[in-house]
Amino acid sequence: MKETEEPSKAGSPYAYLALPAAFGAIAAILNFGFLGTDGLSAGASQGMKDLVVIGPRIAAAVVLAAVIQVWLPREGVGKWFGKKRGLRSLVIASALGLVTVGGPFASFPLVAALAAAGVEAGSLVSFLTGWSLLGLQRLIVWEWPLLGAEFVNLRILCCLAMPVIAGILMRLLLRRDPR
Amino acid sequence: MMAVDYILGGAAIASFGYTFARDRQRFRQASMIAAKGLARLAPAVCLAILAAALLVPIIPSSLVGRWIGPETGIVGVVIASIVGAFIPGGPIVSFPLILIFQSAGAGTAQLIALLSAWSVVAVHRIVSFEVPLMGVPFTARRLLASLPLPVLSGLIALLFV
Repeated sequence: MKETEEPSKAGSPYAYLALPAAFGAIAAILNFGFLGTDGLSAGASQGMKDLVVIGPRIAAAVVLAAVIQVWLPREGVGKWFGKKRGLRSLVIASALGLVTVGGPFASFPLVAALAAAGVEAGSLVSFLTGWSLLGLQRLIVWEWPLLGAEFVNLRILCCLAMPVIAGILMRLLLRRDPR
Repeated sequence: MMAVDYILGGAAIASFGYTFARDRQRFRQASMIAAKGLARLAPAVCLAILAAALLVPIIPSSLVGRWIGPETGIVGVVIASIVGAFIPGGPIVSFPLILIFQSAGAGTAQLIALLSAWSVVAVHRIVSFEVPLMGVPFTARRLLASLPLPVLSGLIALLFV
């Protein structure tokens, strides 16, 4: 939910709604063009039905994500990163990525600081991949409510090893061409 | 109501209650984050769901099915990975699209590959965060190291579906 949150630029606080609004308008125009007013009212009533199902689910998810966010402060993350190069450090980095909440405004400065502090690149890639691929916040707020638990649980299972694999590949790349 | 509703609802109430009992300051903080999040998300989610509901009936499911349907196997996984890599924007923008693909007949393994590609490539994030903060060499290597992941996750999913 934070992915598109930017430190407020000049302009409307509702600017982030421009794309969804444009998307909705295009959808309505296309629907009307192909299916006429019948299609439009059928689509709108289907949308309302979906909203009644999904709305409360997302509301619960946002509350849960907010509670997780206050109990898992970001400041402590750094001390978990070691400078060792074993497989274990990749697993730890991946797990830290999973539980790190907040969008790129929070994560990238953290990664840059860790890089400056000498944390090796494989761990950084594992962390970034864990955060972007399996970040708890996106799973809770977006995926479970919208895509359904069955699909999302399978997705988690299929992706679980990926952050560690990315870290290993990063180390191999650096070994071939260290710079 | 589905299991996910009970689990999410129960977890939200329990964790919120626990926070209230244990730490009032954290509780206030969490309430504020939740209220802001809800105010922000509500209009966007309404628009997204409406747009998806309006688009699904006019998108020919044969088209989605032919390229990334359940029958497309490994080729579909590769195609879905390429499509996912080019979806820009955060979840507010991307999830309606993913919802549409899901409703219009994309296969499970293919959709998993698509989501993976969107997550690890994320063009919008590379341009606005990764290159400025981490530099081109790191970004290029991370991309190279991440390239096999979407296809790999889709292939693993093919074993289950």
